[in-house]
Amino acid sequence: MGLIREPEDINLNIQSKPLTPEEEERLSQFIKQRKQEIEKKKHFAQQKLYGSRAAQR
Amino acid sequence: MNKSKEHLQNFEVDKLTNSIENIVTGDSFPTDVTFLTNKDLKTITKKNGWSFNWKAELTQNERDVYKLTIVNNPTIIQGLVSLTIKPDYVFLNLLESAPFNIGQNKVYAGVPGNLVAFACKLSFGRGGDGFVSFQAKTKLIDHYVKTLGAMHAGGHLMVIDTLAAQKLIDKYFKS
Repeated sequence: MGLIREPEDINLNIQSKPLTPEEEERLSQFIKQRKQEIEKKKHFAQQKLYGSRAAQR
Repeated sequence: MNKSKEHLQNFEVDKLTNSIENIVTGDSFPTDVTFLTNKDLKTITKKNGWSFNWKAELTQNERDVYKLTIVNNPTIIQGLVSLTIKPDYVFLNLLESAPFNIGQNKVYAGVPGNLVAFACKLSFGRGGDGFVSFQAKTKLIDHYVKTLGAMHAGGHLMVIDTLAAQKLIDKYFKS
Protein backbone atom coordinates (compact mmCIF):
# COMPACT_ATOMS: atom_id res chain seq x y z
CA MET A 1 0.00 0.00 0.00
CA GLY A 2 1.41 3.38 -0.96
CA LEU A 3 1.42 6.51 1.08
CA ILE A 4 1.61 10.05 -0.15
CA ARG A 5 4.38 11.63 1.84
CA GLU A 6 3.99 15.32 2.46
CA PRO A 7 7.17 17.41 2.41
CA GLU A 8 8.51 17.77 5.93
CA ASP A 9 8.91 21.52 5.70
CA ILE A 10 5.45 22.19 4.31
CA ASN A 11 2.18 22.22 6.17
CA LEU A 12 -0.37 20.58 3.91
CA ASN A 13 -3.48 21.93 5.61
CA ILE A 14 -6.16 23.02 3.18
CA GLN A 15 -8.19 26.15 3.89
CA SER A 16 -10.50 26.90 1.00
CA LYS A 17 -12.21 30.26 0.89
CA PRO A 18 -15.90 30.22 -0.02
CA LEU A 19 -16.18 30.18 -3.81
CA THR A 20 -17.49 33.25 -5.60
CA PRO A 21 -20.34 32.67 -8.11
CA GLU A 22 -17.78 33.18 -10.89
CA GLU A 23 -15.47 30.54 -9.39
CA GLU A 24 -18.40 28.15 -8.93
CA GLU A 25 -19.31 28.60 -12.59
CA ARG A 26 -15.71 28.17 -13.76
CA LEU A 27 -15.35 25.06 -11.65
CA SER A 28 -18.58 23.51 -12.92
CA GLN A 29 -17.55 24.18 -16.52
CA PHE A 30 -14.10 22.73 -15.90
CA ILE A 31 -15.55 19.58 -14.35
CA LYS A 32 -18.20 19.22 -17.07
CA GLN A 33 -15.54 19.48 -19.77
CA ARG A 34 -13.23 17.04 -17.99
CA LYS A 35 -16.06 14.51 -17.56
CA GLN A 36 -16.75 14.72 -21.30
CA GLU A 37 -13.06 14.18 -22.09
CA ILE A 38 -12.97 11.12 -19.83
CA GLU A 39 -16.14 9.73 -21.43
CA LYS A 40 -14.58 10.16 -24.88
CA LYS A 41 -11.43 8.38 -23.71
CA LYS A 42 -13.52 5.50 -22.32
CA HIS A 43 -15.54 5.29 -25.54
CA PHE A 44 -12.39 5.30 -27.66
CA ALA A 45 -10.78 2.61 -25.49
CA GLN A 46 -13.89 0.44 -25.76
CA GLN A 47 -14.01 0.81 -29.53
CA LYS A 48 -10.34 -0.11 -29.73
CA LEU A 49 -11.00 -3.21 -27.60
CA TYR A 50 -13.98 -4.29 -29.71
CA GLY A 51 -11.95 -3.67 -32.87
CA SER A 52 -9.09 -5.88 -31.73
CA ARG A 53 -11.51 -8.64 -30.66
CA ALA A 54 -13.26 -8.50 -34.04
CA ALA A 55 -9.90 -8.72 -35.81
CA GLN A 56 -9.01 -11.82 -33.76
CA ARG A 57 -12.18 -13.57 -34.93
CA MET B 1 -26.53 17.64 13.00
CA ASN B 2 -28.87 18.10 10.09
CA LYS B 3 -31.08 15.44 8.54
CA SER B 4 -28.67 14.56 5.77
CA LYS B 5 -25.96 14.05 8.35
CA GLU B 6 -28.22 11.77 10.36
CA HIS B 7 -28.82 9.84 7.17
CA LEU B 8 -25.11 9.62 6.60
CA GLN B 9 -24.56 8.14 10.03
CA ASN B 10 -25.86 4.94 8.50
CA PHE B 11 -23.53 5.24 5.54
CA GLU B 12 -20.80 2.67 5.91
CA VAL B 13 -17.90 5.08 6.12
CA ASP B 14 -16.69 3.43 9.30
CA LYS B 15 -16.02 0.25 7.37
CA LEU B 16 -13.65 1.88 4.97
CA THR B 17 -10.18 0.93 6.04
CA ASN B 18 -6.96 2.58 5.05
CA SER B 19 -3.73 3.29 6.86
CA ILE B 20 -1.17 5.78 8.05
CA GLU B 21 2.47 5.10 8.71
CA ASN B 22 4.44 5.66 11.89
CA ILE B 23 7.44 7.79 10.94
CA VAL B 24 9.81 6.18 13.43
CA THR B 25 8.95 2.51 13.15
CA GLY B 26 7.60 2.44 9.60
CA ASP B 27 4.61 0.41 10.81
CA SER B 28 1.28 0.93 9.08
CA PHE B 29 -1.88 1.34 11.08
CA PRO B 30 -5.38 0.82 9.68
CA THR B 31 -7.65 3.81 10.11
CA ASP B 32 -11.31 4.74 10.28
CA VAL B 33 -13.02 7.85 8.95
CA THR B 34 -16.12 8.80 10.92
CA PHE B 35 -18.13 11.90 11.71
CA LEU B 36 -16.68 14.41 14.15
CA THR B 37 -18.97 14.86 17.16
CA ASN B 38 -19.47 17.62 19.67
CA LYS B 39 -17.83 15.41 22.26
CA ASP B 40 -14.63 15.34 20.16
CA LEU B 41 -14.46 19.14 20.16
CA LYS B 42 -13.21 19.26 23.74
CA THR B 43 -9.71 18.41 22.56
CA ILE B 44 -9.83 20.08 19.13
CA THR B 45 -8.84 23.54 20.28
CA LYS B 46 -6.33 26.19 19.27
CA LYS B 47 -4.86 25.81 22.73
CA ASN B 48 -4.05 22.21 21.84
CA GLY B 49 -2.35 23.29 18.63
CA TRP B 50 -5.16 22.98 16.09
CA SER B 51 -5.20 25.84 13.57
CA PHE B 52 -8.81 25.99 12.43
CA ASN B 53 -12.07 26.61 14.26
CA TRP B 54 -13.65 23.17 13.99
CA LYS B 55 -16.44 24.05 16.38
CA ALA B 56 -17.66 26.66 13.93
CA GLU B 57 -17.26 24.18 11.10
CA LEU B 58 -19.48 21.67 12.83
CA THR B 59 -22.32 24.17 13.12
CA GLN B 60 -22.59 24.71 9.36
CA ASN B 61 -25.35 22.45 8.10
CA GLU B 62 -24.16 22.16 4.52
CA ARG B 63 -20.74 20.94 5.66
CA ASP B 64 -19.83 17.43 6.79
CA VAL B 65 -16.90 17.11 9.17
CA TYR B 66 -15.01 13.82 9.45
CA LYS B 67 -12.19 12.65 11.70
CA LEU B 68 -9.44 10.18 10.91
CA THR B 69 -8.52 7.82 13.74
CA ILE B 70 -6.52 4.63 14.09
CA VAL B 71 -8.63 1.47 14.37
CA ASN B 72 -9.21 0.58 18.04
CA ASN B 73 -7.92 3.99 19.12
CA PRO B 74 -10.90 6.24 18.40
CA THR B 75 -10.13 8.96 20.91
CA ILE B 76 -6.90 10.17 19.29
CA ILE B 77 -7.78 12.21 16.22
CA GLN B 78 -5.10 12.09 13.52
CA GLY B 79 -6.68 14.59 11.17
CA LEU B 80 -9.90 16.34 10.22
CA VAL B 81 -11.65 17.28 7.01
CA SER B 82 -14.66 19.46 6.33
CA LEU B 83 -16.37 18.95 3.00
CA THR B 84 -19.47 19.92 1.11
CA ILE B 85 -21.27 17.52 -1.20
CA LYS B 86 -22.05 19.39 -4.42
CA PRO B 87 -24.19 17.90 -7.21
CA ASP B 88 -21.19 17.15 -9.44
CA TYR B 89 -18.22 17.09 -7.05
CA VAL B 90 -17.10 17.20 -3.42
CA PHE B 91 -15.57 20.45 -2.20
CA LEU B 92 -12.93 20.40 0.55
CA ASN B 93 -13.50 23.37 2.86
CA LEU B 94 -10.84 22.56 5.42
CA LEU B 95 -8.32 19.80 5.97
CA GLU B 96 -5.95 19.68 8.90
CA SER B 97 -3.55 17.12 10.30
CA ALA B 98 -3.35 16.82 14.08
CA PRO B 99 -0.67 19.06 15.60
CA PHE B 100 1.51 16.00 16.33
CA ASN B 101 1.35 15.01 12.66
CA ILE B 102 2.83 18.25 11.33
CA GLY B 103 6.43 19.20 10.67
CA GLN B 104 9.68 17.33 11.07
CA ASN B 105 8.67 15.64 14.31
CA LYS B 106 5.35 14.34 13.05
CA VAL B 107 4.26 10.96 14.38
CA TYR B 108 2.34 9.63 11.36
CA ALA B 109 2.75 10.21 7.62
CA GLY B 110 -0.05 10.10 5.09
CA VAL B 111 -2.85 11.83 6.95
CA PRO B 112 -3.72 14.51 4.33
CA GLY B 113 -3.57 12.12 1.37
CA ASN B 114 -5.64 9.65 3.32
CA LEU B 115 -8.39 12.21 3.94
CA VAL B 116 -8.35 13.38 0.31
CA ALA B 117 -8.70 9.76 -0.83
CA PHE B 118 -11.67 9.44 1.50
CA ALA B 119 -13.25 12.52 -0.12
CA CYS B 120 -12.75 10.89 -3.54
CA LYS B 121 -14.44 7.73 -2.31
CA LEU B 122 -17.33 9.80 -1.00
CA SER B 123 -17.58 11.63 -4.32
CA PHE B 124 -17.95 8.33 -6.19
CA GLY B 125 -20.66 7.28 -3.76
CA ARG B 126 -22.57 10.53 -4.03
CA GLY B 127 -22.74 10.94 -7.79
CA GLY B 128 -19.68 13.14 -8.26
CA ASP B 129 -17.76 10.53 -10.28
CA GLY B 130 -14.83 10.90 -7.90
CA PHE B 131 -14.37 14.61 -8.61
CA VAL B 132 -13.01 16.60 -5.68
CA SER B 133 -12.10 20.27 -5.62
CA PHE B 134 -10.30 22.55 -3.21
CA GLN B 135 -8.28 25.76 -3.11
CA ALA B 136 -4.51 25.55 -2.78
CA LYS B 137 -1.86 27.98 -1.72
CA THR B 138 0.19 29.02 -4.75
CA LYS B 139 3.36 27.34 -3.49
CA LEU B 140 1.56 24.01 -3.06
CA ILE B 141 -0.15 23.80 -6.47
CA ASP B 142 2.70 21.85 -8.08
CA HIS B 143 2.92 19.56 -5.08
CA TYR B 144 -0.77 18.65 -5.35
CA VAL B 145 -0.39 18.07 -9.08
CA LYS B 146 2.50 15.67 -8.49
CA THR B 147 1.30 13.84 -5.41
CA LEU B 148 -2.47 13.78 -5.80
CA GLY B 149 -2.69 13.95 -9.59
CA ALA B 150 -4.78 17.09 -9.17
CA MET B 151 -5.39 19.48 -12.05
CA HIS B 152 -5.01 23.24 -11.77
CA ALA B 153 -8.31 24.84 -12.77
CA GLY B 154 -7.06 28.42 -12.65
CA GLY B 155 -6.53 30.79 -9.74
CA HIS B 156 -6.20 28.71 -6.60
CA LEU B 157 -8.69 26.09 -7.72
CA MET B 158 -7.60 22.48 -7.88
CA VAL B 159 -9.60 19.56 -9.23
CA ILE B 160 -9.07 15.84 -8.75
CA ASP B 161 -10.82 14.04 -11.60
CA THR B 162 -12.24 10.53 -11.89
CA LEU B 163 -8.97 8.97 -13.01
CA ALA B 164 -6.81 10.57 -10.32
CA ALA B 165 -9.47 9.83 -7.70
CA GLN B 166 -9.49 6.15 -8.60
CA LYS B 167 -5.70 6.01 -8.29
CA LEU B 168 -5.85 7.60 -4.84
CA ILE B 169 -8.54 5.18 -3.70
CA ASP B 170 -6.58 2.22 -5.03
CA LYS B 171 -3.55 3.51 -3.16
CA TYR B 172 -5.26 3.99 0.17
CA PHE B 173 -8.25 1.69 0.41
CA LYS B 174 -8.20 -2.03 0.53
CA SER B 175 -10.87 -3.61 -1.66
